Amino acid sequence: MLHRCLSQDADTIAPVSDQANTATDEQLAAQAARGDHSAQAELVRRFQQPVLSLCFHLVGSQHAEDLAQDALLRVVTKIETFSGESAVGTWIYRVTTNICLSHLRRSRRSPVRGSIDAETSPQIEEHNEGSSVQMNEGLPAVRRALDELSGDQRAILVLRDVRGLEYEQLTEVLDIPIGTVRSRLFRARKNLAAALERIESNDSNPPSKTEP
Amino acid sequence: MSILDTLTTDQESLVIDAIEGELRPEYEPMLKQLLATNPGLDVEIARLTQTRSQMRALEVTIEPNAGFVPQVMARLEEATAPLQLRHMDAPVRSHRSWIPASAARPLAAAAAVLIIAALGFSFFGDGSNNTTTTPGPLADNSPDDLPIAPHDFIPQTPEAIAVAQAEAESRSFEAAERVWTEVAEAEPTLAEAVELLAAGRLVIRGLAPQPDIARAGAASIAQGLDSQSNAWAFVNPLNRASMARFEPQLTDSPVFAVDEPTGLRVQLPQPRTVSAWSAEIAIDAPALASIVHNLRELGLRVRFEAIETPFASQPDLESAIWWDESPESWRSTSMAPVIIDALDRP
Repeated sequence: MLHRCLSQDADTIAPVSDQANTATDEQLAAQAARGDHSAQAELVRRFQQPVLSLCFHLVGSQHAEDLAQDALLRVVTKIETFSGESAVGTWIYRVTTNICLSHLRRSRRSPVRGSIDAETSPQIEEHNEGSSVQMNEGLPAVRRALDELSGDQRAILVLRDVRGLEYEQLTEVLDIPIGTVRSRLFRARKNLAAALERIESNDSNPPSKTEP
Repeated sequence: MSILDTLTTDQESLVIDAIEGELRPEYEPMLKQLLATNPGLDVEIARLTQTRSQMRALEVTIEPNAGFVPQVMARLEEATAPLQLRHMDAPVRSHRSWIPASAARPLAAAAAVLIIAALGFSFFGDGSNNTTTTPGPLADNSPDDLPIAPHDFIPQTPEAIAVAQAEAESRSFEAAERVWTEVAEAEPTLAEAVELLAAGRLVIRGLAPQPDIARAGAASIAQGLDSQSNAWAFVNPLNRASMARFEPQLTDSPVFAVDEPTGLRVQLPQPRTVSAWSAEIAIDAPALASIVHNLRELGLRVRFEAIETPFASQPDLESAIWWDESPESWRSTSMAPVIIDALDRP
């Protein structure tokens, strides 16, 4: 579930050494920790899409690619600190989530960097120089509702619903006990539903324009 | 008020497990009972379940930039190059250019006082049984220039030599820690540090007694040490040029301490930078105290330093726009380098 985007990557991955390409994530991490550049590159290649997707959902399109790069850079430079107690993907999600939450907290202090709404909500499809982001049409309301939540609540919903993490993985990625996973999910879902209701109500009853 | 707001924690767990499809069979009767005693709860659960379906349908296909992997690898090369270079160059690199001789001399002289306090007292107990009171030599010149202990300093018992040898290494580390953190110019106070931060002239330096501790601390930073703070955040690892600017000031040659009675000569460990980050910190004392506290929790000895040339004196475009916003809407922050050093065994 965690790596469900990986198969979509397979055709676009540039050739690397067979050893790195066929290694499990854990084997790859061990090779990367020994300074194997081929393994480091493969690790980045293998996780670029899920990490980018997670960043997109957490911080919006404008900063997603930069933060995804930051996250994978940290992953590769600190791979020797990976203890192996969790899956590699779970650890990478943890690093990525923490980087995105830090970014969101910084953004709150500087409004020009913040406003996820302004970055992502109206556009369904966005094309940048080398990347394209396509979102299913018909769902902007839930996307906008998501952006109204706090970073912590947004993170748990994205990790659970979009990235498909299990409770146990959520405890590892977010570093919270399982009871907190349940309570945070409960509050996040409740707040999401309320925000969605508000947005849909506004959409169906747009404020009338003032006549000049 | 929604009926969801009236549930106990246990009831919330039942509800959320039901929504998530995680409710174990043995808990289903409890949920049924909860629904029976709370009219309208079924509607709320259906509503949350529907939003969950909408979230799960929030499929996004992102094709990373074709240069994504090469860009990350290029940044990796830049980030790791300084450490590799420094490590390889360390044995042959002349430190003479790193610090003026005139500055190195007082540093070593001050070190002598501390080393003798650490080594000498430890080796002599109360010191009353010694025939000499001359402070032991400590020099910043090469080992060949150092006088081996004069004959009248040589201890009478092999046990004294054994004790000195056994304790020398750990004592030298303790002493070196104090030397490298206390001998330098006076540390700015917290209030002064806030002013320096506002001016972009603050450096926060953490010293680990061992490289392993420094590396573990750096890993904690990389993994989001700042995620729980609203007042400060680590932004990026420093690049090679920036990192070089904050390398510890080393003396122009190895520093040795000599234990008088045994003539045992110990080369002191020197601090080397293991990791360096830029940090964005709210310009106030609680924020600085918070980041210092968190760094200390990593096992680092933390001190403030002032630099002459501001670290980020010119606001970038983003900051310039930000400053146009209402002051009430943001918390003023500034950038400061956070340098993680470790005492490296010679």
